[in-house]
Amino acid sequence: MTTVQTLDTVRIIDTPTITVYAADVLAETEFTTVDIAGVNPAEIPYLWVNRLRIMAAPQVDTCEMQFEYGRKLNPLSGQFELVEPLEIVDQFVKVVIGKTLDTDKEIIWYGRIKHESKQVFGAGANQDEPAGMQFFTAFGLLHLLDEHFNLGSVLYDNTSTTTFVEEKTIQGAIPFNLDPGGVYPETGNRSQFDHDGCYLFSLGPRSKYKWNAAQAVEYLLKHHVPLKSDGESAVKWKLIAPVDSPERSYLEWYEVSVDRELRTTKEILDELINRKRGVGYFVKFDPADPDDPDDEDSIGVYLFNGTKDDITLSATTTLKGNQNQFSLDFENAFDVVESTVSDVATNAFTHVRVFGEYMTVTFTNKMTNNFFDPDEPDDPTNMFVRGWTDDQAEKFNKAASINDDGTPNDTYAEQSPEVQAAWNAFARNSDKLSNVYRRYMINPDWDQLCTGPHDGESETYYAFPVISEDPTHIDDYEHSDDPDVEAERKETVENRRIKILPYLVLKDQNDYSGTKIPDEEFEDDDPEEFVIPQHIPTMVYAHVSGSGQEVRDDDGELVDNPPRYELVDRLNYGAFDDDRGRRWGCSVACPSDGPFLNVSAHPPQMIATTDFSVDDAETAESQQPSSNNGLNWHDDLFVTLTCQHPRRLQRTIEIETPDDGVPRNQCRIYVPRARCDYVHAYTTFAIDKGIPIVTTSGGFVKDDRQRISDIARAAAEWYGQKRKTLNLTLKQCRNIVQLGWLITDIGANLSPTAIHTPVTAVEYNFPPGNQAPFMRIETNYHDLDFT
Amino acid sequence: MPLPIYSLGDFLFVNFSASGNDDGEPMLPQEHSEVIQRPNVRGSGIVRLERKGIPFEMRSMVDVDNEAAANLLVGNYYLAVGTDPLAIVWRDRDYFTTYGVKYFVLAVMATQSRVVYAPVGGLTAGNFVVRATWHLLPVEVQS
Repeated sequence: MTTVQTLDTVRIIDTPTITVYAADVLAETEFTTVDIAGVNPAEIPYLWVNRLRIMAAPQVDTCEMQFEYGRKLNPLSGQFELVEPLEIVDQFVKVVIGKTLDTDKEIIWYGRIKHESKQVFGAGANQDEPAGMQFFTAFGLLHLLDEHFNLGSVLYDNTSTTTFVEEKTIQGAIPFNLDPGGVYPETGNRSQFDHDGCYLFSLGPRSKYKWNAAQAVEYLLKHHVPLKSDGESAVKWKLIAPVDSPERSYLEWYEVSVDRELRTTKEILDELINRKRGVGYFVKFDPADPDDPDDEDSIGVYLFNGTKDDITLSATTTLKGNQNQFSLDFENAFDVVESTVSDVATNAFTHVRVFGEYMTVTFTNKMTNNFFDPDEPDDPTNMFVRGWTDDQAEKFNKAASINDDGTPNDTYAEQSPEVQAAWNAFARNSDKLSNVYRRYMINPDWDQLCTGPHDGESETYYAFPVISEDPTHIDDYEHSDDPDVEAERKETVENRRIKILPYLVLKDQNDYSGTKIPDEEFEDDDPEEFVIPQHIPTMVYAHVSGSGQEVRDDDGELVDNPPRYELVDRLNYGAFDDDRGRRWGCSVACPSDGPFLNVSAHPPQMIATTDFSVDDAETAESQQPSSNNGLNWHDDLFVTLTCQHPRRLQRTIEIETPDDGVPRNQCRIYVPRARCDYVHAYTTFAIDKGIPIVTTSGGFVKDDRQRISDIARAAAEWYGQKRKTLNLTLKQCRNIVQLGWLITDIGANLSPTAIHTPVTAVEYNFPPGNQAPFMRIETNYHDLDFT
Repeated sequence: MPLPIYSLGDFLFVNFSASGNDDGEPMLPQEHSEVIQRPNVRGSGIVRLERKGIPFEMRSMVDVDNEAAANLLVGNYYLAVGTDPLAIVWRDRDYFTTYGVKYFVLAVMATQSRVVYAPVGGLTAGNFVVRATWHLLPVEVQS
């Protein structure tokens, strides 16, 4: 609802009185007029306010004052008196600008003097009458939070046997919804229940409960504000956003993940109450109601946003428009000195494009096709190829039996098998041969198709599908022989640039089997259980026994010769007897320098039974794969990988269609840690007693598409509205606008001009000398901007 | 008919008149204002800047007995500059008791000379007169 604010066409305008009060502590009852030489300072004209600038965060209010000391005329006595310099640095001040019209209200401002400079004139002929000018700068109360560093954290401790819940303060500033150091560090860490009016951090490092911005702000305002010597808050701070209020909706529609380490409370507030989400704030001292004995002084954190209309983000989320909208009519006001309307074309966007992190895809595939032909290793159906050369393989195989130049080592044959084995192991340890049978590379010609690797899994799909921006769109990633369909479903990915992540996006404590990924919501651990899920490392598992031909009874149970699988880094765990067990180990690693996978058996040839040609070089049984239940990497190994998708999570919304169809000016917004992690059907995420456990449906384990879609929609609403900034200067100082009010338009009668920007600064100027005071109203959206 | 009393503080004068004023009456503090006008808006507005004095100039003349007295008076005139504001009695009217106004002496320029004619009247009927130009600022004081 927009109201019309008409600036009175007053012909005679009075100059307001200004009174400055000071106090050692911030309490309404403590403020007394500034003590100047024992006389009534309200009548002393030597302390005056030059400028009071009240601003929305992240800016801090400032009040510049000036005081003349020395031999001054006291109007009360009519005599000159020696006025001493003021000592008011670090004191709180209350500035009252009197009303000049009966219908107005006084302008009352609170701050703290933090700076003084002095101009020293001299001490007079007898050196006993010092004189000079003092210049003071007071900052608004938000500055108090800029002096308070976050050094500790308050946890919700419900483990005590004597009380249900306790606050437990620890060193270290825990970030909101982050677990620094993890591969995917975003996680909830809020307590399940609130305590004494606000939520606390969970006792463990992760929790299924996430902070929203409103809860995080309330926590900060209760536990990380300036304290008195007894540990109590020096003054209470309150978020003025009751539950279900429009203001609270400003903070509840976007997720927060904010670091607190080495930051002040103000810095954290600036990020939580995020200008880049169109919401701003300012602080104001609210003195206790003298008629209410239970009321107490407090500092309120007030919220506003810059949108005129409500924005429906989803079925359950609505971002309310600004609650104080007005049309400013000053067409006939005498006292308007300047009214500048600026139209900044750089913010005229045709498209909003919101970006998150790179998407990921997770899938299981056999390392090569089922009919691996050593003579055609580059067959496009093979996902992996050898990461070593034939020459390296030959040197590896022959090892110590040949010299560096390839000639036979004459002394080799004379050695015992044990000595030969030792010599060979030493030769194969060479850095030049370190890749042999260890490093596997994504096939440069890979067709990027994945086939369900196990019996009964027949679906073939694109490893890197086109994932639609619209979260409500149902995607089909199944392979099609129709080139047109393929073009729609398959991303263009250069195999040489595929990036394999060292961890899967899946976590080891979660059950993703069957259709659980789409059907259930996977949260982090329960803080009471204190079980911390870990991301599963890249999985390589092997077919270790069984024919692979399953025989099942009528109930579907395996009854005969079932295939068995084991993770290669846990071989032997499933050994049935000595003959089928393995006395060698294996490790898996993903180098970060390319599309590589390192599978290192010890010794390496144990997973290359057919590639490893013994010839005459190896006679020790301990080194021969055939004698140690060796595996064939191309026949037996399967991998579950998480790969980086070539596209970032993104959502594009068109604000206006350019005449030529070419996007003219795109607004780009980056949302850190917004993720989209897709898991394909038939991805193996665990091996249970030799049986791969798979998700049959696949799906998104983390899908922030709706989240960035909300941001894109809100941003499109913001930029879809034509905005201008208004700079209005009036030759009077009156309480006619408040920070955060949205000026919809000016010039209501004849030439309405749309403004649609909130008031971000109000400035009162009292020039020295015999000049009229003036005020300035500024609206802006650079202070409140999604980019 | 007795002479009307003119005085500034303790200084008595035969004549004491403000420059640029037919009667020479001292100025009082008055409301200051600033005119505001805005393009394309009819009329004018005023910002009132409160009541305060404007520096003005007064001339005084007084006769004294002799040259020594004249020299002393000139010296005292200069000592009045920068002191506490002084009350003015002008044509028997006390501006402090009447208006609550005293006058701060910003500057003075005084001269003394011997009269060549036979003195008649005056305060002392002396042969010397002291003339001065006073730069004054009216200030409102409460006591």
